[in-house]
Amino acid sequence: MKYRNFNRAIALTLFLVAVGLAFWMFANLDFIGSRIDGNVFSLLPKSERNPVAEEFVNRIAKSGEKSAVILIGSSNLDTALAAEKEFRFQIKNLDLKSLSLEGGLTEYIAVLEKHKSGLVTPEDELLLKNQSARFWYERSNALAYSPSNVGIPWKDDPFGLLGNWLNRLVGSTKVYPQGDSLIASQDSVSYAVVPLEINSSIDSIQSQNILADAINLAIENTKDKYQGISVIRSGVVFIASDTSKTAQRDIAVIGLVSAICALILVASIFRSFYAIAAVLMTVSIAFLYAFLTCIYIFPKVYVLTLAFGTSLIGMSVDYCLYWLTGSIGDNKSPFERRRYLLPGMLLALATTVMGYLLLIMTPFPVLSQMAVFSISGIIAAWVTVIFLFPFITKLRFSSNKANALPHFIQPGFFGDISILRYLLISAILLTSFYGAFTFKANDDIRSLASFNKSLVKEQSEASKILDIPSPSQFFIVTGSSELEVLSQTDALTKKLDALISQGFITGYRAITQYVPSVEVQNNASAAYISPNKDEAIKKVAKEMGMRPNWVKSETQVSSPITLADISILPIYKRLNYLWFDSSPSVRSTAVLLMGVKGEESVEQLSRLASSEVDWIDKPQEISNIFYRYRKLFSYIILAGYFLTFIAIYMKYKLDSWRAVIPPIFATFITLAILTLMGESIGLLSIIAFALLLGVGTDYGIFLLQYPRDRRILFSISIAALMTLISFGSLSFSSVPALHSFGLTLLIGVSLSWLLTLFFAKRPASDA
Amino acid sequence: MHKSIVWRLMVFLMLIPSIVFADQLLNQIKNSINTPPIIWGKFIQNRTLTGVSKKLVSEGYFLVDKQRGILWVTEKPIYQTLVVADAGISIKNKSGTLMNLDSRNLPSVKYINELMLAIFSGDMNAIERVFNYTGEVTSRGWSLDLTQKNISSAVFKSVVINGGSVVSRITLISREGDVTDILFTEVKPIAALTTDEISKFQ
Repeated sequence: MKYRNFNRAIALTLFLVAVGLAFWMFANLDFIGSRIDGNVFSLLPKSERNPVAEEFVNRIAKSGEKSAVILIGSSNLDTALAAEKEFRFQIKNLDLKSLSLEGGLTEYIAVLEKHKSGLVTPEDELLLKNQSARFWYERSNALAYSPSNVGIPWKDDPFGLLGNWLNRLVGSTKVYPQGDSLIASQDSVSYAVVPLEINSSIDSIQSQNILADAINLAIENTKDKYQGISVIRSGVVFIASDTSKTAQRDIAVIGLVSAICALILVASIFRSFYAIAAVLMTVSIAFLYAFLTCIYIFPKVYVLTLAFGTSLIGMSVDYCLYWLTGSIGDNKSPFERRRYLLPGMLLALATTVMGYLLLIMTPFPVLSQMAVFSISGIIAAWVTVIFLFPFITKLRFSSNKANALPHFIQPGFFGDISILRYLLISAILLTSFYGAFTFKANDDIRSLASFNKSLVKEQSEASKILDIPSPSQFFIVTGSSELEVLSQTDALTKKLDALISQGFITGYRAITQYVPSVEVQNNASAAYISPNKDEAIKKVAKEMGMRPNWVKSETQVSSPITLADISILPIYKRLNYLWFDSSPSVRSTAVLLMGVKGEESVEQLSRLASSEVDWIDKPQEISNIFYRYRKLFSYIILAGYFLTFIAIYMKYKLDSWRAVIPPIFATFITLAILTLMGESIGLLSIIAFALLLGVGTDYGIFLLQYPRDRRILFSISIAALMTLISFGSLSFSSVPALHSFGLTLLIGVSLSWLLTLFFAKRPASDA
Repeated sequence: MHKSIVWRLMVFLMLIPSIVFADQLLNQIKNSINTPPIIWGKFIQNRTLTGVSKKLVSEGYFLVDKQRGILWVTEKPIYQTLVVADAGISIKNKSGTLMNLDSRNLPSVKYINELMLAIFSGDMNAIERVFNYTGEVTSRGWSLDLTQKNISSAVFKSVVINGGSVVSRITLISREGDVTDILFTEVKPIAALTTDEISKFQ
């Protein structure tokens, strides 16, 4: 009696704690909402790279995250500008800053003038070396008699040398002002460019979604008013919002489908309201603990965790089913039943949790979170079944037609007809070999990216029109001093110039375009003091009636410009992300690239790397990490099977292979089927196989533990069906990662169930 | 003190008509100005450059082709041609090219081209996009005072255009204070360019 009371106390405590937590959660929905992270970029693996490069990647990503650009295009510039006005009116109340044109060019030019002897284009340098005094005299006159000199007054740049240098720098921007607007054009379409900065108040998915929706609505309204315009969106906010919405829709649909299917199944088997209530309660408690554990451990809970976590419904239902089917037509007391089921359930829990623990070892924060979510949820479900179910007195069911189903399921079938059995075994072996040796691996991160294709297209179109450098492929030049870094950068850009002329890239952005290295400036200065040019300047000075000291100022070598000269200017704000003083002895700078054209360009670019020049290729790096972890995971699975085998062996000795072999063959045959379906195998499929190890061995364990219990056979069949429902529904997800995970498990679990029955020991009573 | 208020008030009152009629102003000019696809004319240019004591006077002829751009041929005191075209800006003399800005590599050169073409061809739609304007229309002609809408990217501090059925005078004042005053004479539409002229645009 004491034992019973003790148990009752535990059950009551567990129940009250769960109810309390549920109340707490509902009371703090706002807080919980703020802890959900919809940012797809946080799903990328923790990098293993050097901190300087990482800092750069972060900076470039950060500057990209808060900004967005809308391009409003029309073949008629006036239409584009009118539509822009309408669009700006539509978004005027949103949480956005419209970026204005950054000025500061005048101050920059004033600084340049002080260092002009070193600021000469390579073309002019050549002319300075080769051209006669007459040429320079005529060039100076030509500029004086032209209707207008742009930017720099004639007296400060009588040969247009600095003007040419400046034009090469600022002239390459594809965006130019037109009245109050910014204009870019491509293929006879004029675009009004609307650069936007998202206010820092936009930090949660909800506010991000609201903003993206509002901008999209403004675009639609503008399009309605101005037929025929094209609008191109560029910005992380659109992709992030779209992805989080897809994920949320998937959660809703997949969660609902698996829940409804689970309930229909339970209702048709047990025909009892209490059975349904018990299942719902278990699932809710599992979800509650899973979610709260993640909130407790992680600063943010990823939307994808929740999407993945819906499969937890299926897993926690499994434990209910073992109990509930165990109660059909059973006269044991609840505590006897618990003692009866405990060994099987404990081993099943242990092997499943082992499967999920393997997930924690991956470098992807979202996967470790999924594992924590699942482990805590499953343990909560298990505890609920073991400690609460014995007190739900109404969980006692009589047999009905549905319960007769297991009589058609025959463990160890085809046991008698040995030829057929051997044929089947050889077929299993052959297919397994086929799967093991023909599958196509694919570790390309881009094949897992679930980003909306049209948005990605818009993004790349915008980059092309505006010539935005790539945030994921660039160089980092590191050295011990500014001098060293700038000269290394100049050496690199010289090589990049060659790649531009060969068409591998369209351009680059480097700090040396603003502050050339001392070598480059010294070479320019050496050319600048050309005797022919100096002869011309004297003649020009005489004719134009210049002051005597003018000749001196136009013939002397000035000191080289340094970063310190421009770091105080407003224009530097646009450049400072290129420069990084990581420590007093380490300086580095990024060289960003425009128009990188496919693999061949990447190949060419990667060859430019050296000990001082790092080639950063983020997608390739992630793909490499995927590859490495896919390999690692394969070994972990092998180890997992070995450990599971040992765990089972301690109890079931020689029969243990019956629990371990089925999921192994299921894995290989799944590989074969996926290959035949044209699916390639990535890290996510391998992770699915790791889970199959946990789930699949459960069936075998239960058959080994209760070989004569028809109810258990029934349980594992329903459990397999439930898992199919929950994981199968994941294969319908539009998130490719979830899809391949779901599909792999859908096939794997079916096969595993089938093979478990196939390899099961025939019950003694039937023999 | 009192005087200055009155003065300001008068300036303000004087501004009112041009503010009120600002919309009509460009329409009126559009009605009076001829903008054929190609015009030809002679010019006399006076330049006063900051820090340069000599007044730079030059003469020559020009062509404005809305399709191709501007051809500016200085004949006195030196011979040189300035071409402002889609391909870029170039200055040549008899011995060869003196300056060349390629707009394929430098999109901003295209911006300067469009600005110049708008001013020299009297294209009011283009002018309206880039400039804030005041001005007047009288029986003898019209005048427009232009300031660039976007100050940070402004090439000119101000531009004054006078004209009747054609543009007759343009005054460009750069940010640094260089003043270029150009008088046009014998301006007339022409039907087509000669092959020599076409080759100069290339």
